[in-house]
Amino acid sequence: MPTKLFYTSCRHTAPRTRQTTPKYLIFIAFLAITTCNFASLASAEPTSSASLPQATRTDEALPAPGNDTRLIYWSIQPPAASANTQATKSAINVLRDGLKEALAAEQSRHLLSETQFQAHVANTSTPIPLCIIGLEPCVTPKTLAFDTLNLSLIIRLQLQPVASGFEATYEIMDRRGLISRTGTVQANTARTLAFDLVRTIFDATGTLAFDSTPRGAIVEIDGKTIGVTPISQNLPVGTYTYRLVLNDYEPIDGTTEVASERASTIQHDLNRIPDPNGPPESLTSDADAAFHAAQTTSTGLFQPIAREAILPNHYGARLSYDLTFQSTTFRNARGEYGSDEYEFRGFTERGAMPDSGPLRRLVMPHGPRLELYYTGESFGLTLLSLSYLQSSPDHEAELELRNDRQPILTTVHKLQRLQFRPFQLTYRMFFGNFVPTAEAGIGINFQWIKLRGNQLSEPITLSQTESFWTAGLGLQYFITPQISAQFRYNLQSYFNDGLGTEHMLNLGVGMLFGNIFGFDAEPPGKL
Amino acid sequence: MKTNQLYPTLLVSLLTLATALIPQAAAATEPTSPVETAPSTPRAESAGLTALVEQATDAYNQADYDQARQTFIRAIQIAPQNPDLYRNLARTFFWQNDYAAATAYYDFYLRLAPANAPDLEQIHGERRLAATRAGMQVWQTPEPQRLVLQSLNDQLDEGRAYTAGGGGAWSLYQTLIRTQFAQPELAQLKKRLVRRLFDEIESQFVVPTDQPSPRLDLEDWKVQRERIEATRSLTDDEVILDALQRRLLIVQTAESLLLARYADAVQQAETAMRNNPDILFTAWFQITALLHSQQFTRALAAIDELEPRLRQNAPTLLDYAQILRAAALQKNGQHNDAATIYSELLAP
Repeated sequence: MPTKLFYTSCRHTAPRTRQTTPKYLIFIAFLAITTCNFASLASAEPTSSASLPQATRTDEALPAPGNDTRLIYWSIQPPAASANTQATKSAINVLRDGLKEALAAEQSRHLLSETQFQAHVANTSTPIPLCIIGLEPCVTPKTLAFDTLNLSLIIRLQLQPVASGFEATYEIMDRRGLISRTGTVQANTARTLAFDLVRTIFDATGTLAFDSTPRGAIVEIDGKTIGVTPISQNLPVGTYTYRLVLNDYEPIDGTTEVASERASTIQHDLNRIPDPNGPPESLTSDADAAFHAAQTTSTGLFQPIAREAILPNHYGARLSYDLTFQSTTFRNARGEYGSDEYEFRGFTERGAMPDSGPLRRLVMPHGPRLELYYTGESFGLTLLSLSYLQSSPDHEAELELRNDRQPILTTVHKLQRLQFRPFQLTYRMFFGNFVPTAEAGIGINFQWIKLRGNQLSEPITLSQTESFWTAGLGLQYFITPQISAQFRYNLQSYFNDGLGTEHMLNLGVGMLFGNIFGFDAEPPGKL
Repeated sequence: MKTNQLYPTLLVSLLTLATALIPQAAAATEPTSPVETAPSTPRAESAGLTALVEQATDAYNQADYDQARQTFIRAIQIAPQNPDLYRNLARTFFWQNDYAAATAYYDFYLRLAPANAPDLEQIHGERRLAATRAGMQVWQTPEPQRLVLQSLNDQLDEGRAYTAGGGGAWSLYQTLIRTQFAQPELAQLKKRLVRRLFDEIESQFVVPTDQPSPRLDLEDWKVQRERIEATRSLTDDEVILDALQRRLLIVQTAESLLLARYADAVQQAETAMRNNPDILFTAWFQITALLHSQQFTRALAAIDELEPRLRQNAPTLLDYAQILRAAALQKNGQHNDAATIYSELLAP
């Protein structure tokens, strides 16, 4: 059975007391800790502990080395060609031997020559990086090469003979592939130089470890990705900026200092970014009940109503209330009382009719209106519109007896009207629940005027019948496909000029019916 | 959380839970073997549609209106733009004395039917009769459906189309189906969901410029496979189906590789690469599979083929190819060549 491409974990050993361990061994131990890089990603899981997103940093003495295998590759370069003498070559060998001696306790972790490097490559069973197929975030190829070869540092030395002995210029490339430190060390002999180099280089580094809750956050130091938490990185002393990034969590930015010989751990509790489309907060098992909740409801006052729902309702009845305003004369209204016949002559002012012409008075009769109508999609026809209006004006007026033309002063004290509009054409448009309407037609007005006066023994009633044309604009609001409210303005102009024009405000409620006469068929019993 | 905010959340939650418990809804989320692909396609659904309509019509003709209603609803869910199904469902509601629902479904028919449909006059009459008998009752989309619909629209606008465990908009769509939602709007929702799913599938194949492959593990690839199968079950667009089939080859390669079926992975990678020339990262899968199956010479040849493409399309990734080359050489016993490559990679 082939091995699955999953992860290996990194083992940390128990710390020992620092006093018993040489500095460079301590350093080497922490280089090994840096091997805990991407492997921990797979096991990164949120923990149940929740706390404020603040970093905690712990500095501690470097623990002792364990069974770590991270290596340091010393690349010792010959000096410039002019100084590359046999003596210098010999000095390189002495330097290499000195390094072997200085690093005796951990010699197996140092590759001190190209030959050793090649042998290491030959003996290493290098894993195929998981990041290549997307199982981990890929670090830079350099870092990947470091990890593949299990290297923690590359120390490049260039040896030069100087007057006082030898000088070694060194540069340290860390796992990020960056030259993190350079320096120069001088000594009388190549062997002394080797010991001084070991001391100088290893004294000038510290370890920075990162952890987070939850784990698995990508760690960047000075903009370079070094791996995911938990991770430890050996770095030269100095100030570094870092960033922790984990999907669905707020990134953390910070600055920290690496001190010589110190191991620092930076711990962050990451704050989850709220997911607006996240899973529901709680569940109940009463799903079916919810599915089968009542599907039919009565509409509220402001439920949107589709035009299609209104259209099939062709037959309507509306009850409304009219309020009219008219400046009129009542001329030619006539009536009888006993054997006498009276005719309305006109309104008077202080007991006399003006010479300039008939005086007009404002009357405001009001009353209910009943309408029955048929409507199609846009056009409709009002079959019956009947209004009964009345008012109680108090206007001086003059009558005359038809037989002797004798004027009689009276007061108009009641007005009653019955208006009948047999045919009105209507037009409507749909804007959601709102339906503006326009209408026009003709009608006939029957009116009765009651007058009383000192010269009359009893109040008398004059009547008058006149036809008119009418036009109006209105706005309907459908509460349901059947029920609507309507407000409209009508203008009614009498063919007899003397009566003037009526302005009507109308407010009412209408009801529409679909198959009121039972003409529509039921669906078939079989499809 | 306020009580009035809690209610809709609870309702959508319990609907979602119920959906998860229903085999029909969960079908697309069942983990399946990478090589066993038998998703239900709209073509299969079309064949099922004919049978469903026949079944519903038989039930109607035998006055089994409850069965007819349920079956017509299922048929509408498959073909939400077929007007006849709405007419027949309206008639079913009519005979169940649910005149308000009948009126609403007659309206759906009238909205979808062609202007020259021969039965328009008849349906107008039937609708008037239903509306008259409904009186003051007006059918409205049931509250559970409305809530799920709203959540689905929100998810389609801003959320995820498919998440691990069959969540996201896909889950809400399944919940909506479960609530017996059968309205013309379903067609548009389906289209939007397909588009979002397809976008999400494609976004999974997008690789950051400094990375060789998309950051997906086995679980992610399984989700991707489910996402593809979910999309296939919703569309009959030949172009999309062809693209999905080609993308599925990549998913199969990845799954074989991560399940250590290296021989399968090598074979599938070749097919995937041939069918997805726009996807570069499949080559990394192929090389990795070759290395794991000890075919080092073929792996080196594959790296040779990959490098010119990298030079042209992703020069920043060339050093990763060198890492693999070094690994191949090393495993092939060419240690010094491998060491030389590593030395070059580690040069300052």
